This record gives sequence, C-alpha cells and structure tokens, in this order.
Amino acid sequence: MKSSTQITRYAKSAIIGIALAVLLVWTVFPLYWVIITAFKDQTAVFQSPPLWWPNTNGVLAFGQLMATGVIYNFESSFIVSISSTLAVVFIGALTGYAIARFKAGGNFLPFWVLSQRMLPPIAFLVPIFLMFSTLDLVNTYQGLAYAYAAFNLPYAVWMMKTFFEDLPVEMEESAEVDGCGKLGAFVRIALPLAAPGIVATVIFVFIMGWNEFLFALVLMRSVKMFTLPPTEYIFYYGPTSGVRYNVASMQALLAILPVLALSVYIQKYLVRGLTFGAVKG
Amino acid sequence: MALPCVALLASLMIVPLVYELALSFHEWIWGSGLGWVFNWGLSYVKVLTDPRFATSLYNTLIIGGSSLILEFAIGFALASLLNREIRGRSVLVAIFSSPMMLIPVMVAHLWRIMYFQGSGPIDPMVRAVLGYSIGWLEEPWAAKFANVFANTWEWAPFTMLIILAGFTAIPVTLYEAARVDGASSWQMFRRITLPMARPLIVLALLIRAMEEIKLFDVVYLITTGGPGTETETVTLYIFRQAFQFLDMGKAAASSFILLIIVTVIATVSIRYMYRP
Repeated sequence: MKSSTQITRYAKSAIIGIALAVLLVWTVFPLYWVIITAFKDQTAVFQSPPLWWPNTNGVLAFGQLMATGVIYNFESSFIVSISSTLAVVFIGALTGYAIARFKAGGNFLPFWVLSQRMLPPIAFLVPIFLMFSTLDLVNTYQGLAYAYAAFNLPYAVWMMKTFFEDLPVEMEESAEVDGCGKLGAFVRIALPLAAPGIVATVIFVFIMGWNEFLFALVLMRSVKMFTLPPTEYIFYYGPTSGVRYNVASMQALLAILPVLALSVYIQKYLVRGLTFGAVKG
Repeated sequence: MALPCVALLASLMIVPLVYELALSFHEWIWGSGLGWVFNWGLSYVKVLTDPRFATSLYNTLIIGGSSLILEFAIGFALASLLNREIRGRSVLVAIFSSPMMLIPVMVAHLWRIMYFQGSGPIDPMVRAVLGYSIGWLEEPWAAKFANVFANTWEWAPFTMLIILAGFTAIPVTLYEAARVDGASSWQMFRRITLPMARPLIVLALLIRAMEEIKLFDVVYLITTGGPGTETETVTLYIFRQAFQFLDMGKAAASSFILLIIVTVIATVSIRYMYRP
C-alpha cells in the first residue's frame, strides 16, 4: 500500500505534466496550423467547418509562390541582413572592445549607445524616409542596410562589451609585454577568445534584420525590392489580395526556416542576448 | 576605436531627430508642392487635442497592458514548471522559446488565419464553449484581444527565459538549508525563489513594457487598426499621419511625444538594469 506522501507526489507530477502539456499545445498549435495551411488547396483553406489536416503535397502552392517572384525577396532579405550584420559586427567589436578595455567615452558613451537601442524605431521613420528620399537611398539595398546597421549597432556594442569583459585581461597584457601591441592583442588574443560570443552576436543581428518589417515596408518602394516580411503583407492588402492564404503560409514557412535553424546555435546565449548582456544567463 | 560607432549612430539617430524636431514646428503636407511653414508648435496642439491620438494611446495601453499581464502570467507559469529536473528539459525550453525567434509579421499571419470565422480552428472551439461565435477581426474588444493573443504568444517565452534564468541562479544551498529546517515546497517558493528572482522578474517586465509601446507589425497585419480605430496603436497613428494623410508636421510632433514617453521608461529601465 502506498503512503499518502507518495500519492501526493504522484498527484503533483501529474498536475505539472498536464500544465506543461496544455502550454505545449498553446505554443505548437499555431505552428501546426500554418504548416497544414501551406499544404491545403484553395477550397480547403476556406472550408467550414475547418479541415484539421493537410490535403495536398504542397507542390502547387510552392509553384504559385515561386511565380510571385519570391526569390527576389529572399535575395533582398539575404543581401540586406548580411551586409548590415557585417558592418554592425565589425564596428560593434571595435567599440565594444574600446569600452570594455579602455573605458572609451567614460560612463557616458556606453549608456548613450544603449539608450539609442531603447528608442522606438517608428519615431525615426519620418525623418529617415524624408532624408533618404533626398539622398536617393529609398528603394535601394544600401539604404535599408544602412538603417538596420544604425538600429542594431547599439545592441552589438553591448553584447560585445560584455563578452570582452568576461575575458581575463591578463592574457592580453602578457601579449602586449611580449611585443604584440594593443592592436595585436585585440586581433590575436581577444577576438579568437570571444569568437563564440561574436558568432552569437552575428546571429542575433542577422535575425533582427531578417525579421524587421516597418522600415522595409516604407523604404522599399517596389515589390521586387521588398524583403520577406513586407512581402507577406502583400498577400493581404496587395492587388491580388485576400484569397491565397495557402501560398502566404508556404512563404511564411520558408521565411522562418533560416531563423529557426540559426536559433539552435544561440539557445545558450538567449538570455544574455535578450537583456543586452545585463544577465549572463 | 569608438569613432565609427558614434558616426554611424549620430548620422541616423541624432541628425534625424534634429530634422524631426524642426519639422514638428512646421506645417507641411508631403507632396502638396508647398514648402515648410513655421506654425509656432501648433502641430503639438493639434496632436494633443486629436481624439484619435487619445484613442491610440488608450488602445496601446489596453493592448500592451493586457499583453504584458498575459506574458507575465504564462512566462511565470512556464518558468515555475520548468524549474525542476525533468527529462528533456533543455529540449522543452527550446520548443517553448521558439515563437520569439519568428518574423513578427509571420506570427501575425499564422494567428490571423486561425481567427477566420468558419474556416479557422478557434471558431469551432469558441462555439463549443460559448455557444456562439466571435468575430475576432470585426468586434471592437475581440479585435483588441486578437492582437493581444498573437503578441502574447510570441513574447511570453521572453519572460519565461528571463525568469527561469533568475530561478536557476539561486544557490541550491539555500533550499537545502530550508529543507533541513522543515520548510514545505510552497514556503520555499514563497520565501526563497520569489524574493531571490525578483530583480530579474522586474527586469523582464520593464523590457517588455518598453517593447509593447513599439508594437506595430502584429497590429498592422492582423487588424490594421480596425474596426474603425479600435485597435489603432500610437505607432499606427504616427504611421498613418505620415503615409496615409501625408501630414508630416503632425507625424513628427506625435513621434516626439512618443519619444518622450519611451525615454522616461527607458531611463528607469537602464538605471534598474545596470545599477551598481
């Protein structure tokens, strides 16, 4: 016969299990629904009561998606995200190191940089759009990449700063004593040691560019130049709007795949990344 | 070494702000052919007396506030549930945190297709429970919560991860000592876990509060501010002043008002995050 404490323990783990299962359904079901919608045909999407499983192999929806020229949007997304990420990480590493090791800009610089990150991007939309119109940067990859670089730089600076601060300063000092110089100590000692953190920062910044919607929508003036997020919007409010939700879902799936793949790597840096390095996690 | 950083930030953060400040004191309809006309800050008066602006602030408060509460509730529940030895815990954490990585517009899409009356999966569930169906995209309060649920789904993992980090950072010795003293698990949760994790809980809420004010992508795709202006948030208000009504002076003035609100919250957050 089981003792009463054992029964309460069973009851407790049963409750925990059920609660976790409910929350798991809440998290996974929307993903399930978008996947099966991508693999439904036109009529099944609008069928009432709803169809709870896919009814095609998805080839037709995929073909229709390709016919929209989505490949150009993928190209835009990759060009803009990668180029802005390269700029951000290069400048961010230099600045992060300068702040971590030489206290560049004293107390003011790091917090000024951080405060830029907290401001709402929408507040910069009007002046940047008008300035870019004058400078002919509207509807160009350079313009959007430039804007992303500025918006994501504060984030990279703070991430890099905390990664460099975590390194023991003695190694760089002894490298300098051995005649390496400050630049040598940075390039040969600090950078390789901080490499995992730098890669995590690269992925975070890439994802932020990949996911951005507002500036892509306003700064790109033709569908062909759009990155992926505003392209999704076309399915709802564009000239051919309102019907092709299976194609829209197919695009959503393809667009989130790169991000999901990358997120596996940054899993252990997530907490630090989400709090601007305030919590080491 | 910090010079490129300062130059890049100044060129796209400081210069536009100065430009916008100047613009906010002028009357200017974009594309009207007329130049800037100085109007002694009338744009600010126009924005502050615009009932639509007040509505947008109210909507931001309701949608953002409800999201914040739900994100905290779900995130806290998940963190508490996962703060124990379970098989496959890291896999579970990875699955639960996945919505946060997705493109926000795609999150909006995958919720919007679920809200469809008749063909969406939510409708039959609601009808089974309530006996009638809800027009998620058409009814004022339902439309507000249609945005809240999508936003919560994406960002509850954020509060979960931060609070979980707070829980796991608590030294095991504290619990061992409490157990020796005969404390129950509820007492340990109440007297050790909660107070020790409090700073991170507050931090998660501060960061999310700041982000809720910036909410745009989800609202723009799910309801686009509708029905009427029932889900028009401050960000959407600014966007429409600029790109629908082309009233750049008013857009600039409302941007500045939003900046002031966010700066106050951001200053509090930064003080809190990095206090010595």
